[in-house]
Amino acid sequence: MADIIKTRNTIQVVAEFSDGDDRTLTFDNPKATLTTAQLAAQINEASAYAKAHQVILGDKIGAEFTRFKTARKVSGTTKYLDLTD
Amino acid sequence: MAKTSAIITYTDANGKAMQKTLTDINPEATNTEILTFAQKMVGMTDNVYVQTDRVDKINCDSEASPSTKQTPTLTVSSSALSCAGAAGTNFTYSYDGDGQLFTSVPVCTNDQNYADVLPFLGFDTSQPNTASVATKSYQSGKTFQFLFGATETDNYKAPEPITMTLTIS
Repeated sequence: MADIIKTRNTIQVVAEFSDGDDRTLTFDNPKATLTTAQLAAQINEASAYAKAHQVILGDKIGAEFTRFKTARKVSGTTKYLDLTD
Repeated sequence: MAKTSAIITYTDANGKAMQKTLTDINPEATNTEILTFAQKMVGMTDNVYVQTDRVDKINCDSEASPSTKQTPTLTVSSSALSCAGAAGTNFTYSYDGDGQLFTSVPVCTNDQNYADVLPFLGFDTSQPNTASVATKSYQSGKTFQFLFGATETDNYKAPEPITMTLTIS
């Protein structure tokens, strides 16, 4: 039996807060049909909403959310090794 | 400040029910705002959004339970009263709370008619559940509006005030 390869993608967005602190939010399985530009546009839109409505706060002193400053699309590949004889 | 989290439930590509917790949610955010944000984040993925639950963490050592005050009932025999000029009239009421009963009129008005005729409330102790309203106005046909209400206490919430009218006959 051949090795099994599984790919897992995640979006990692770094949220920045007014005290300079930041926090990473991770969501798995980004939409396969979106280009990176489209994904970036959606992240910017969510960032604008979070800023206007102050949904998330900094964890140290509850500082105001400023923006999503960076975002990464991370692909992870796992290779399940075939241990059969 | 109560610590607030949001638990987002979604179904992943394999049909498996998954949950993601977002901590440090603004306790002043409305449920709609939290929900909209959660949907935007899940909307970027191929996961299927199911629901968002808001969790408010409350420290039992420092915070008392939410109010368990009763809501009292306040009723009047009639909310449309009339009296002769510069006189008064009675109305009966029922109130099962322990707050203070009051009448109130709007503070800010340039209308001299209102300024001259603030109704005032008295209680006839010989007649239970009877209140009196009087006016200094002589303007026949004129109608004045006031609110009749009760204050909030440790045991009772304030009831919705009743809008009453007093017409000079």
